Amino acid sequence: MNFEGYETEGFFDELIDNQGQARDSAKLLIDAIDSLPEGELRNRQDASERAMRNMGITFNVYGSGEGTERTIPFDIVPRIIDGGEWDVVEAGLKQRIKAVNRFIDDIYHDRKIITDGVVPEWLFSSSKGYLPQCQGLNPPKGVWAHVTGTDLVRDENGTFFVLEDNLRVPSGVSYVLLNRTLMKRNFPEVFHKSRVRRVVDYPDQFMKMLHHVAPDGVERPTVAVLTPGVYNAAYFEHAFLAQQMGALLVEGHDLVYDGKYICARTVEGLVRIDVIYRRINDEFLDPDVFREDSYLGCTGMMKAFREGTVTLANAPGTGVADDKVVYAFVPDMIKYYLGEDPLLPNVPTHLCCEAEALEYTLDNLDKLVVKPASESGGYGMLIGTKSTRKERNAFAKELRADPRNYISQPTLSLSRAPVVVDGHFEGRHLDLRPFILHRGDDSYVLPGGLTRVALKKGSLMVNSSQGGGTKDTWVVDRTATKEDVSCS
Amino acid sequence: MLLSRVADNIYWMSRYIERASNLARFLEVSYQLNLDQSSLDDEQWAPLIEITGDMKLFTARYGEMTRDNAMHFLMFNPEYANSIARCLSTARSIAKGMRETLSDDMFWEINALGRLVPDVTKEKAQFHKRVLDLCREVKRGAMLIEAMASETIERGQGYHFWRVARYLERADKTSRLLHVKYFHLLPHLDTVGTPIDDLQWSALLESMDAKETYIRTRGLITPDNVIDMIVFDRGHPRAILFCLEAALDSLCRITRDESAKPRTILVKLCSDLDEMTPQGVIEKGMNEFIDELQLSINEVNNAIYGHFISPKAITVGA
Repeated sequence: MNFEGYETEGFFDELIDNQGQARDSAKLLIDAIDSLPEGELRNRQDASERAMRNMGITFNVYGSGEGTERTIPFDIVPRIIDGGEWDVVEAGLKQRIKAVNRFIDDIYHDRKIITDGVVPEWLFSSSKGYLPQCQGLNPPKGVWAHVTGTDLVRDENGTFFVLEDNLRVPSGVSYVLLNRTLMKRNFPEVFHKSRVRRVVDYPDQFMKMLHHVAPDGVERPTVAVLTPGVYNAAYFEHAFLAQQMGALLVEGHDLVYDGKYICARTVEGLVRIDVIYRRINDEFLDPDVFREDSYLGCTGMMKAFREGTVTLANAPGTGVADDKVVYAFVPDMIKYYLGEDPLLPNVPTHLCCEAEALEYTLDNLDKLVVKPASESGGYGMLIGTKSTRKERNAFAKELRADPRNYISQPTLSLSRAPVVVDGHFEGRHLDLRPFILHRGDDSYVLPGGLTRVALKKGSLMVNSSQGGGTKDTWVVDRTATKEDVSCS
Repeated sequence: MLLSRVADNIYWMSRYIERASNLARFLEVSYQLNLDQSSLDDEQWAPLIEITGDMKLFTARYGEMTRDNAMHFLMFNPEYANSIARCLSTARSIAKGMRETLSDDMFWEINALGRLVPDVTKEKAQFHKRVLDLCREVKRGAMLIEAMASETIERGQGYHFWRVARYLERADKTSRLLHVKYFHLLPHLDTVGTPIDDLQWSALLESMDAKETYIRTRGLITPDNVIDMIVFDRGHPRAILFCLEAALDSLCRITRDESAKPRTILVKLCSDLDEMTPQGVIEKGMNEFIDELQLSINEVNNAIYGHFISPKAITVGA
């Protein structure tokens, strides 16, 4: 299998330039693939998929009953990003997360950004993620969003844009680490020569960050990962992170509030938990405060959090900034809080709550992408260019009924990369979700992140729930030189 | 630090794997034994079902005691909670819910073993083709997992819960095996000492990998010597006393509290057993001996649950 006859079809391709040549950063890899014996790439792809199943890297499909386990499709050709380009992205992400954390803290305190007229009052008051219970709170080190997965896309010129910030419970990082393990096995030599930036220490970085934000006076915090349980689609990731970080993996019924602390029920009795990386949404955290019917959290959780005896990551209320309308204001936040120009641009966004923008959106439904403000996973959106008149008419009704809940954006010509399809390569659209760990004074950005790829030809939907797969993402610091003989 | 929920999971995962491997041992040996019978009528499958304690379930589901039915029940039946297939898949589901506490190697092996037994309900021809191989694979898989636990898991509370569960399950199964041999294979005293009797004792020893050790250390097969070996021999890893003392050893590492109920019961059980002899067992009556033993093992199980997993003291009234 080789790249002869591979067409970029006018899209920006991550590995191949518009002349059909391998990009400098991808040359070593492309040469290696070209020189593999016939069928070898296929073999390695099969072996990788088998390994994923044997390792139990599966997710449960919602609503399909017990025993339905799927693996997320994995494509063996990595996506490659040049180290120099990545440095800019990394700086842009750090800047963004710093500003967003300042914004959340501001919203739950004096709301200076509103008094100063930079963002409108309704921005938070109408946000589903805003929690009045968090007003005036000071989480340790001032951090609200400890872990963020920011989705990036590239357009036809290769420019990176921020598509959205996932500030609640972003998932996918376990696939980054596991894809990397598989790829090291598949292409050890190219990997070594390319000087790929490492991702293996993510769990250590994560644990250090969690220790850093422990409640005051706790020297050696006990850290737990709170999971909804084994039937959750992302359970594998929760277990994986707990194992890799050396944290306890707890479910709501393992926890109990003893009047001061959140404790775990252990064989030796109750043991205090200091830091909880929670993978359940705000509304399930505490049945006393939020949803009464929640068995996923623990009564007393919010009390302990408010009194500062337990740190929750991410902090409750962080969702106020995980909203596609708030997203549109992030560049303004960066200027306002940091006095800097944004390093990473947003996708141009129309807020449908503004009369003019609503009219524009309704007039151009066939050209735009329209998204609900507070959904994730690609649910409830309209891709105008792929829609029928009937779908657009139905969508227009919903849009008019609740304009605050929608934004619209131009349809980007998303970048592509080659994937293996029936014994040859074809270009498929993809995005990138880097993970950012914020500890207040500094942030760590996982080099690369999760590349999600739409496996259906022509599709723009990269979500695993919508038929997407993943690729390993290499940030490389060395490009091919003449001395490099082809290697595999 | 070990969560009570996780301790409970470890406990049951360990028991299910041990249960599957014991059943595989019994099934393999019975199968071999029955192959040596001169006619189909002489085949003995009922004792094997008796060991599980689920004869009623069997009769309700299958009616007739045939080789196919017995094999399906014990190895393949996906609905019977104690079939080898179900024990292994249950162990696998439990493992999935606590994989953060297992080493990767262990998890992968349990994951693979949980999918080993195929659903061949509709193809009876498959039973014979597969059953011996499957028995061997289940045994080997369980031993491999055991070795991995031994080589990769730190000697913390989790490890010792795993070990307690395994040895209590094994002690229970060994006692059932003995029980069945004594009462179902031996209805008439006049078969004692016949070739059939010898064959049965030796099959029993074989299912515990004890045959060769037995003839090397004790010579000819006699009931009291067999009882000596599989009940009292501290040097044999499937003997009841060995299992109970091993379980006690781990229990003492889980809690230092000497007055903890599970400990006091198990200490008493071990010392009672230690004072008995094979002759004493035979005089007391095998039936009574085994009934008491199984009751005590159950008591230990309940005490472990009450003390570590769901202690009333843990409900907080703050």
